[in-house]
Amino acid sequence: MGESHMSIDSRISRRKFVKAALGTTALFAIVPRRVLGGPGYVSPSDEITKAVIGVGGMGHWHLTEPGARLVAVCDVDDEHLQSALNVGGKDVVAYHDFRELLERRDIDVVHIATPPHWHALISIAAARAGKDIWCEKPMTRTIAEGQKVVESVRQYGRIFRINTWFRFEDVFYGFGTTVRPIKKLVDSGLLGWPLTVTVGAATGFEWKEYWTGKTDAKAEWIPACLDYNMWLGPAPYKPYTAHRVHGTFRGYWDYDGGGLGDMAQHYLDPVQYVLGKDDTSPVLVEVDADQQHPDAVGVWRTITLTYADGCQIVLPGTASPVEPNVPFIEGPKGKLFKGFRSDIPNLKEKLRDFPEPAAQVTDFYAAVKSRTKFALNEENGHRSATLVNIAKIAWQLGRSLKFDPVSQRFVGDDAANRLANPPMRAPWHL
Amino acid sequence: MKETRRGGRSAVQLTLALLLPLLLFAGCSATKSPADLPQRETRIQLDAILEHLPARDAAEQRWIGALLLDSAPESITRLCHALDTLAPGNDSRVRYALSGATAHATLPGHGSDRVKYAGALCAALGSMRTAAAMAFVIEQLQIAGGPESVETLGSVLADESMCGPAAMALVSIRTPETGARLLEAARSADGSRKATLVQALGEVKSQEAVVDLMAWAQGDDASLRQASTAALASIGDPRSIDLIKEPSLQLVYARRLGEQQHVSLSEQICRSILSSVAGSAEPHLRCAALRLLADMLGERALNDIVTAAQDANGEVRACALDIAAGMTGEGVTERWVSLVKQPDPGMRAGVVRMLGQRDDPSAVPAVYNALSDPDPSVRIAAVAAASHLGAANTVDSILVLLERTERPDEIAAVRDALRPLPLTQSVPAAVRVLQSAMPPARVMLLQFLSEGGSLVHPRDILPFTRDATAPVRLAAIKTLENVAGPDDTAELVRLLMEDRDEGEWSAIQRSIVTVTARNPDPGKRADALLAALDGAEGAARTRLIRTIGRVGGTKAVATLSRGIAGKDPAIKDASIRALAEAPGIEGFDPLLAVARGKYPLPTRALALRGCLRMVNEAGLPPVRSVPLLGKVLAASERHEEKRLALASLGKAGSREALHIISGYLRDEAVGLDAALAIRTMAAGGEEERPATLSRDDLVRVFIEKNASPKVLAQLKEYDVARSDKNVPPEGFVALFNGKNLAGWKGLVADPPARAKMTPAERAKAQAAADSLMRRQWTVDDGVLMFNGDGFANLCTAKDYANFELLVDWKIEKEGDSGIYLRGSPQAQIWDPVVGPEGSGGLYNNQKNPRTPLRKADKPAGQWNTFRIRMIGERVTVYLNNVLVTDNVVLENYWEREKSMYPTGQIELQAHNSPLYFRNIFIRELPAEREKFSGPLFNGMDLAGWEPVGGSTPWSVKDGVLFAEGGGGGWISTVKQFDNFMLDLEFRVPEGGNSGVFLRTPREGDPAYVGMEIQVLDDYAPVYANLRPWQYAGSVYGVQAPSARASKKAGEWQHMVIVADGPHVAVTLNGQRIVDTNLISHMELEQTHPGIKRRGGYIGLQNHSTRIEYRNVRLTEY
Repeated sequence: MGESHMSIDSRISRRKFVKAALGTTALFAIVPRRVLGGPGYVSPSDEITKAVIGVGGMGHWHLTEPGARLVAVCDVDDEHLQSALNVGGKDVVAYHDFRELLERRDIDVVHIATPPHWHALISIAAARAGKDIWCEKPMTRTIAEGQKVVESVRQYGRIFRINTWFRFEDVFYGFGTTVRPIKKLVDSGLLGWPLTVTVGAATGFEWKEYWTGKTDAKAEWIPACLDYNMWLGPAPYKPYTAHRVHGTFRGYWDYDGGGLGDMAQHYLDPVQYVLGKDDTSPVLVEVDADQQHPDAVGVWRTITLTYADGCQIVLPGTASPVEPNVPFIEGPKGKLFKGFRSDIPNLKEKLRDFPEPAAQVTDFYAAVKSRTKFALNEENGHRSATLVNIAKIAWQLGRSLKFDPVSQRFVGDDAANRLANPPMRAPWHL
Repeated sequence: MKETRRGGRSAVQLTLALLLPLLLFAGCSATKSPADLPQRETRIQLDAILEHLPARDAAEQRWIGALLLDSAPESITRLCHALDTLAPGNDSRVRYALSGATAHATLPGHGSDRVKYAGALCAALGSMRTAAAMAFVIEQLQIAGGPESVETLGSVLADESMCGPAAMALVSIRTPETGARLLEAARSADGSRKATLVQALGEVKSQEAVVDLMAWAQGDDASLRQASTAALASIGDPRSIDLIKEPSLQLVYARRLGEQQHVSLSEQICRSILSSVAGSAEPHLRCAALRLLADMLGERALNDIVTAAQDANGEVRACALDIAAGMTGEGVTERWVSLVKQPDPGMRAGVVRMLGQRDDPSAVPAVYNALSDPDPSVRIAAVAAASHLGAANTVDSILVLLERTERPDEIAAVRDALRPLPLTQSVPAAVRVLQSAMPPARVMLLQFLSEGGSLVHPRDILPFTRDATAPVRLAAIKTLENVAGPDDTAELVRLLMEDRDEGEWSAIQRSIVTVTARNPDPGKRADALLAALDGAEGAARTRLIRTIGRVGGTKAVATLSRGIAGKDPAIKDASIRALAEAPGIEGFDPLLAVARGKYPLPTRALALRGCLRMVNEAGLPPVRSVPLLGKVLAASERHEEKRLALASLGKAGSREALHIISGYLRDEAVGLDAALAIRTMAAGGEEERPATLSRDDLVRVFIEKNASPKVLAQLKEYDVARSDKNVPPEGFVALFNGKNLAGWKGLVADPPARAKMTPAERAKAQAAADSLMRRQWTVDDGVLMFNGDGFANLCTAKDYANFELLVDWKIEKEGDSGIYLRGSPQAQIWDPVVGPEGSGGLYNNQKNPRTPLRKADKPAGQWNTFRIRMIGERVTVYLNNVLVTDNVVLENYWEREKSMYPTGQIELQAHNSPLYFRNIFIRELPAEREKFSGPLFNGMDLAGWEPVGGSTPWSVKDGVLFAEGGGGGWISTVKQFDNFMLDLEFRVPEGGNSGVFLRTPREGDPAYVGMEIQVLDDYAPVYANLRPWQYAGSVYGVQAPSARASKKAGEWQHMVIVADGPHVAVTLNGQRIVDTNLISHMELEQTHPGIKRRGGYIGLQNHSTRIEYRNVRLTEY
């Protein structure tokens, strides 16, 4: 017969696991002071230390991203942790609970690569612990979460970036050029104003329709390596199925928002930058789609986001046929197509007479050292996440919504506002 | 466009029809009805509505929503009860219906619908029994509930499992009564439910809860203390000030106090944080306190900010300046301007940068002053600030800096300030300062101007091509290349005539070539150069001639030919060299004439190479290029040129080329090159090969027939020398030997189709497939190649189960391939331009991830390396050493309903594009462990068993494994077992107690970290009052036995335990008393983590009494 219920600490093995890892590395692990602080700015040679929280799929990318020394990893799945330790080497310490990791004073930066329903809580806790933050996209899954992250990062004076980058580097997904010449073109006024930007298959962007949830999933056995309760964290308790977690979680509203959740901030952040909308939001969002299941995310036909000045962002989804000749940007004076083709004759020649866009801060760790805002930070990142988060609510409710970009609340729609700020499952709260 | 019916629903429909025979009266007022839906004012069945879900668009959704709400509360009650009864996974349409109703009821302006709907949900909630269904209904109330729902939700708070969802719903609804209901429930709750309610009280900022919360915040329960303190912080009542000690909670508290006009209290907390941690290293807390002060006090916090801006800690300084940048108020700018004079340059720079971020023009003079600060970091900050403030004469003021500095960072700062300005402003300003700028700055300005398009006039740049400093001259020449037009060629030619170094001349040449190419008339491109030739002498003339060659055109060729024919040896030589560099094919004949002429060998070789280059670059069809190449080959004397010509002929590929090449197959010096050229021809695309010759003919037959024995020997040696490319690393074997297709076969149909074939059919199909394989797949130079035609995959002759595969692959533009694993598609390979997500994903997956984690491809045309591990049905792929697929299940493409085949061939997918593979190595991984079956206990000793913990009370006698009391402990198997049938006998004395542990680790209590099957004297009086799940045969604490099957103490009893995945069954003395699925007990997972373990040790427990086991046998599944 077993002893007593009360004497069992279900996490005993995990704690031992962490302790054992600490034991083997105690000689090397602790840097006795924080890199930042002290008189004067930090010299560039000073090393930054980082931890990665969430080391499943994308987390692995963060482990090896150069620029800082990896000292700790955290995951609620022991198999993920073990594989991260294999990559990270012997000096890396493994944690099961991010709160224990954040208590360490010798960590400067945390990378957050958990599913999105954890992004806000961990970002906020990291800010309160004085860490700088490199967070995966989408930044948050609700507007309230985003506002709280902005507030916390601002209050605690942290440096924050979202892990998408097209606004400052790399070919813009399938568009065919970087974003820089697009920004230059829009700023030049050659296309006129207002502009309509179409982000879909015809203009080079893929909406990953396979991130859909299962509406008929049966409960399954929780794997021993996974702390499912902690994986769920602030999300409502739902019976476990393997499809809810890890590679396929994006198909469920509780954690993300399907192909839109996965890709929209990636694709729309540069659009927001190009349109000069980094400090505002649309006033109207319309969605054409089948009715959505309350748990499992589906696909859509068209999402339209309209700004107060008439600029529009149109997202043709995978549920609608591809119209091949849609311009990426359409204005009253001209159009820009995928691959930087245009109906404006000699566009490249004409553009030579316009200035280049302003320089951006594109080295995150340099921004950390100099305490400079990164190009894609909590403020503009929150605004681009808002594009996704208001669209998700209109999509779920099956109706058009008006939005006030200043108060960041829906106009005259109580249910939409509740969805924008849902309470979390205790003990988690914003 | 709409379909009238969607198929595949009949089963669910039936279920619902049985459950929901309700007739609804639809008198709805919604908009137009979709044609195939029940019409208004007709009697409809609820299941007829459900059949239409999910709605196909907003209009249909509204129509259905209106129908449901018009028939509320009956329809809503029915739906809730249906949800309560249906098995999870079969209830999705009911969920669509309810969430659709929620959306409809909350439509703005539909207040009465909402009240009716929420009321119906509340009414239904009272009679529901299933936790998951109730949670769903409460979730709907979280969105649609209002004051009418508070009472019901409040009563649900008492329910342990519904308390959390109900509290969340109440927080969302948030009426004045919410706090009171939460508080009432919290007072009578305990444990985690109390903590949940306390948190909710904090979220609704319940003032009435403060007194209770303060008591709980000082209680014994740590988690309640923590939750209460956090709640008090967010409520922000002044009475709780002494209870909130943790700084980040203090900050939450202070912010809330400030919001409630307790500003001075809030200020006091902020200042105490500022001062208490000033000495220690918690800069972020000081930043936060400072930010809060500034937010609350505005300009009144200026002194704090100014002090912090001079703090010893850089992070605090940066925060202070960031706050200052956004702080408005009269006199604020003035105060900061006064700080520009402080002695520390780092701090000065910070203030100046910040002044730039404030949109206050009164800072302009200070910023301009800072432009001439002695410290460069201040000047750099001033440049950024001045350009932000953007006053009228900004550009010139900033550019003035370039007259004094040679520092790269300062110059770069000026460049960054220049870039975003309108070019109409920045270009003239940059031109104005060019003359006076320091040389490194001049270089930057010239580079900036090279992007300035038509606004830059070449005449402004020209003088700097004669600058005293070499880098400036070079930068000016490069700028001219970008901004000059054909009309400026004469100027550039003049530069070429001047005395310069080689680097500048060649830069000028490049500029001339670029600029003249802008002339739309190719015939006139060389005119300016030709005109200059008349007066030019000596070295200048030579340079001109060389440049003329690179510009090219008919006139240029004519001039060069005259030069070659002339007497002057220097001109002659220069003309030959120039012609050898000329673009186009016009110069071929005169150049070939040189090659055949009476010139020194090096000159003739130079000419030949020029001829070859011309042909190769001209992109001529073989019918034109091959004769020219033939002439070059004939004129070649040295092996080097012959080799090059042969290689070009191999690439050209035509019967005529083959004919020419074969003439050299017996040549000892270049015979090998001829053979290789023929191989190249074979490797080329269909259009590049003689149409009537198959690849097989070319490589196998043609060379073997025509080459001399000596050449064939050379060829063999050559292949051997290169075969080391396909030498496997340690532990691997090569699938591809680098020489031929041994070990491979052609593809016959797909796995299910193959399985259906008779051996004879299969042999016949295999022969045909092998023949096709030999036509389309070839080996050259250690590389396995596919000709790009069709879809005939190359398959390993053997099947593989678990393995690690290494393979190098290369594709061409828009190429597509993949590695089929166990005969199934596939680890994807494609041109990253076509598939921007990259290669290495399991492309045909539908349920599991199909895209790679990141793109790790090299561009088409370069070699890539895959490392693929497949164990069971899971696949891991590294592409160029980057993890792109992480242990993902590969789905069975051929038979979707089945899981992956256990074994199968590996295939290189042919996808209608040319492919290249090499270094294909495999390492088979051990098959899954041998399943154990037999006795676990040998009847003689403790072999195979180990006691856990210190004491070892276990021993063996007469074939019995026993423990004589010994307190609490256990003995464990040495090996671990996952899924098995365990068959044993046990005997307990009166009051005896033991247990069989399953899947347990060795640390922790096995009854909880693993599982225990109870072994007990059920009849002992001492155990009279146990719970059902504590009696013999129970899964202890999880599943009670269905009957009491135990014998009396002192008798041997027979127990069979089956643990197979989540399925656990216990048969005691022939009676099956437990048969359960652990999944249905997952709610216990928090306290009993062992129920989700997949494997571990088997153990026998010893307590205070004697316990005996014998005949312990195990069969592993």
